[in-house]
Amino acid sequence: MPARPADMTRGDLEPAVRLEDFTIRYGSFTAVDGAAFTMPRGACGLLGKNGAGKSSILKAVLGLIRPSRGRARVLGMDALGEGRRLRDRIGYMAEKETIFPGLSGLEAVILAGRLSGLPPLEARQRAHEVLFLVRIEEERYRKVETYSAGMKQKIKLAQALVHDPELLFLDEPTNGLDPGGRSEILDLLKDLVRKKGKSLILSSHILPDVEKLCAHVVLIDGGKVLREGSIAEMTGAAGRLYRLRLRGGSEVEPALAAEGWLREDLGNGEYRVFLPPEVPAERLFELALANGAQVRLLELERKSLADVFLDAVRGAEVSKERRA
Amino acid sequence: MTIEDFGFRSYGGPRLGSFPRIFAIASMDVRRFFRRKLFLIFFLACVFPAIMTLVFVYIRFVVIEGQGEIAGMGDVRALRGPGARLFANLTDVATTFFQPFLSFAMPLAVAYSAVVGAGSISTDRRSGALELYFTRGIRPSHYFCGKWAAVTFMICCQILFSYLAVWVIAVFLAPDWGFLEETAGFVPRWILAQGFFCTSLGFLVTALSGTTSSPRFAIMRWFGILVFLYALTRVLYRQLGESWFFIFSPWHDLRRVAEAIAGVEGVRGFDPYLALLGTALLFALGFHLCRKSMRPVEVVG
Repeated sequence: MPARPADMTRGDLEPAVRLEDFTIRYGSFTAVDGAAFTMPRGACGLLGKNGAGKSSILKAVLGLIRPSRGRARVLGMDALGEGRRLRDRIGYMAEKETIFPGLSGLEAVILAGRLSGLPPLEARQRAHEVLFLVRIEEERYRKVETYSAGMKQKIKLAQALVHDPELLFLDEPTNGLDPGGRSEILDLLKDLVRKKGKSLILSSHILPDVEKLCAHVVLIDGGKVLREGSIAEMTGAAGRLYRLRLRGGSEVEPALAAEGWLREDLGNGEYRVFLPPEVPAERLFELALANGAQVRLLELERKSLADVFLDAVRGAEVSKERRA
Repeated sequence: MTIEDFGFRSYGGPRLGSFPRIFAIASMDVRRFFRRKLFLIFFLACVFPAIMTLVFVYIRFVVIEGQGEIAGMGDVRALRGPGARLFANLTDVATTFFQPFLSFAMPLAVAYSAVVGAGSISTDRRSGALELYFTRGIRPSHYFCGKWAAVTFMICCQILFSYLAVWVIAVFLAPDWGFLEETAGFVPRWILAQGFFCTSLGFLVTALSGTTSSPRFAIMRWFGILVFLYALTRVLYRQLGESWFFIFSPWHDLRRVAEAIAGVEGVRGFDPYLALLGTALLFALGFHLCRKSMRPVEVVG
């Protein structure tokens, strides 16, 4: 296989996306307000309500938008200055129905490949391959207009993949798919990340999909970044959030407070306790024993991504109300 | 489903530049048209003047001047009766070759260009394809050039390539090289003129197509601009006797410039430089419409 050109390997160690003090204004309306985050290579989720600023960030990622302030670097390249070359290295799958009218599935994928600079023969060969990959090989000669919603999703994915992009931007990729198709697509995407080293940014309202696929998420609302980080940390899967049930030992509560750990009293002797990473769970047993309490339950508690998202949005709303 | 089951190859080869991408857009558009049976029927109807010219050429070179049965009739110009005038005219190059073109093919080009051009961008806009194009490694100008090239090629098929084919056939059908010598001076200028006409017509209809997401609406706008302004300027000319009014009619502008390139005497004394100015204004308006209507920021996301 021929070696990759120098510009294709440039910035391999750079994160997938880095926004710095990124602000986008449409007239007097601020769509993105000083957003700064880093999406590492691998699978990342971009979560936010409608109108949160996801589309504007997407346009920035694709190098289509000039920020009012700040800058965006994607795959180590300046998204605005090198937008065209950058888009050759990105695969984009739109949320809404986007088809090349009047073309068969195969022709549509060939055209997508050629628009990304693939030579005609290579584009044709790869189009057949990716159509097999997304499992619409039987219908590839049919016009795209006649496809079902699920097949249209798959053809969109094939178009996003045909030119072997380093970074995939997927906007609601499992929309309209039946559970089997959804699972197939998610497995395929997972394989692309794990076995082929692709990076992807998943924008989806189906949070279980994000949880299944992504290791890192960015939560945005009102044009601001609410939280960013690994899902494991956010949901407490790193082992720091425990559910603790005690019997007896009224001195435990002050003892927990004295340790300085974050906690929440759930009533009836139940607590939710955040332990710092360096503190082992055994410390809770020691504390209970020292204060004459009996540990009836100690389990790792994990928030769902939906909980994290809702908490973050609620937190932002509360702080906004307070400021008002 | 895993990658190993089906295979997903990495691609390490070169990425082609802008021109092959523009060509890909144009070629896919042309292919899409010629695959439709209904369009093929329409196309044949629009190239009917060229087919008629081919028949005239055949009658002149094979039947009259060749060894056909009518050859025994001697000098057809000396004939009397209803067919005599036709036969007499067929020996004149202008009548045989260019009259059907000017009288029929060019007016048909209005309807033909509407069909091939009005939907070129508006259909993409309606189906969301603009988002697919603009998120690839091309500029909106590349996309427009691809669409423009496709429409221009399609119009050329009707009023340039078809006649060129007839001319080549006529050259080889003629009993000697007389026809070639007779037309050799004019045909290159005629090709240039038609090239200009097709390119300009293609540009205008493609630019207009970008302003709406409804092909029908684009067709209505196209007819409105061409036919309405054509009729209006003719009425003004008749009433006031001033030929400069034709500058407001895109059809007259394009046709007059094409006539000037071909070295043909223009009708009604319309100054070709004024026509050129009108054409330049039309192009400026077309560029403005394109810039306004095809902004990726508004299409994507």
